[in-house]
Amino acid sequence: MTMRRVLVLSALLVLMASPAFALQAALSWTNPADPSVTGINVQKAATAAGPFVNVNTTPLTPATNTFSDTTIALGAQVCYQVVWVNTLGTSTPLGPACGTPAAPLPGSGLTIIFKP
Amino acid sequence: VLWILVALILAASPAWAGQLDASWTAPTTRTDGTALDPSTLTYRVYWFLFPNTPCPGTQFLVTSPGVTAAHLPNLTQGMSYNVQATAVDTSGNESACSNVATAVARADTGAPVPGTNLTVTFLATPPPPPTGFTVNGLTAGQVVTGLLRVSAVPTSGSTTNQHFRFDLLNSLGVSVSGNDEFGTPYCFVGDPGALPCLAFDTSTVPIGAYSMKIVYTPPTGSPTSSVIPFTISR
Repeated sequence: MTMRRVLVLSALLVLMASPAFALQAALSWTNPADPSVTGINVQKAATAAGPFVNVNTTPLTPATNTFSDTTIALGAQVCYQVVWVNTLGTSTPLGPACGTPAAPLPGSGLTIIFKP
Repeated sequence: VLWILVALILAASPAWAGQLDASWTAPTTRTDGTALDPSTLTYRVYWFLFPNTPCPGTQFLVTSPGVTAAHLPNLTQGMSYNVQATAVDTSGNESACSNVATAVARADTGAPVPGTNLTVTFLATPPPPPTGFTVNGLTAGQVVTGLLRVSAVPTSGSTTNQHFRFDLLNSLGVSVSGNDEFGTPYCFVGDPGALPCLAFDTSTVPIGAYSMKIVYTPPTGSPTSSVIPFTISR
């Protein structure tokens, strides 16, 4: 008689190594209908209370409504806000929007069959 | 003459007081029914203190092609203004004046109002798998005496779920070392193995022509290999 031992791992697998995931935060927003806007700044901080600093090195063009930030780390909270600029000043910030980047969850239900 | 009907909508924006915002719907046909490309049209936006008729006149601003909104700056807060617009085609033909829209300029708060709907999505993308490897410690044609240290390094990417196999082959292509196949470390240690990555003593095999065959199995895709001929001497 053929004997089989079946081991089912129902628990989530734990990542044994720390894969070098390429991380990015993808931001999007809706711009105000304000033709006086000359630029947009995306700002970042570790907490919602700030202090916030610009992520973009030069102001984004007024029509820009997306931004990608790759300078983030797994497990580290990051908060973003967006401000609009014209020749008279800077808008109040939109945000903050905060989150913590996480690695994708592994699969589950791995089955290992030992054959005699 | 370009006959285009421009219907003007005027808004006194609380966000930019002392200023007004005008907008309109782009025309798509001339008055004779022929088609127009709205993206090529520029507009002249005229303004003057109520109850004067600004268009035609000398005080106007010109929009960029296809832009159907304008911001009128430097107005006097609390005063009523009349605004009209005309369309100008690429040949410089200007339409008749639009209807007159009237609004009161409001107090200027200066900076723009913010936008809305900020969202942040975090994406984690696994790195691409390595596509090749480099060999250290042995080059083609090398004459080796004593200890031999050979290792391999994936070119880039993930270092998980991959392995190397090292075979020391004699001149007949027969393995004299047995296969050394490791997930890590990526080195030749002979048989029996002397992990981790200790040198192989070439005095344990006869002198002559040999080759080192290295087969790399990446995390995904097909294995790749390299055969390095060399000589063992004393």
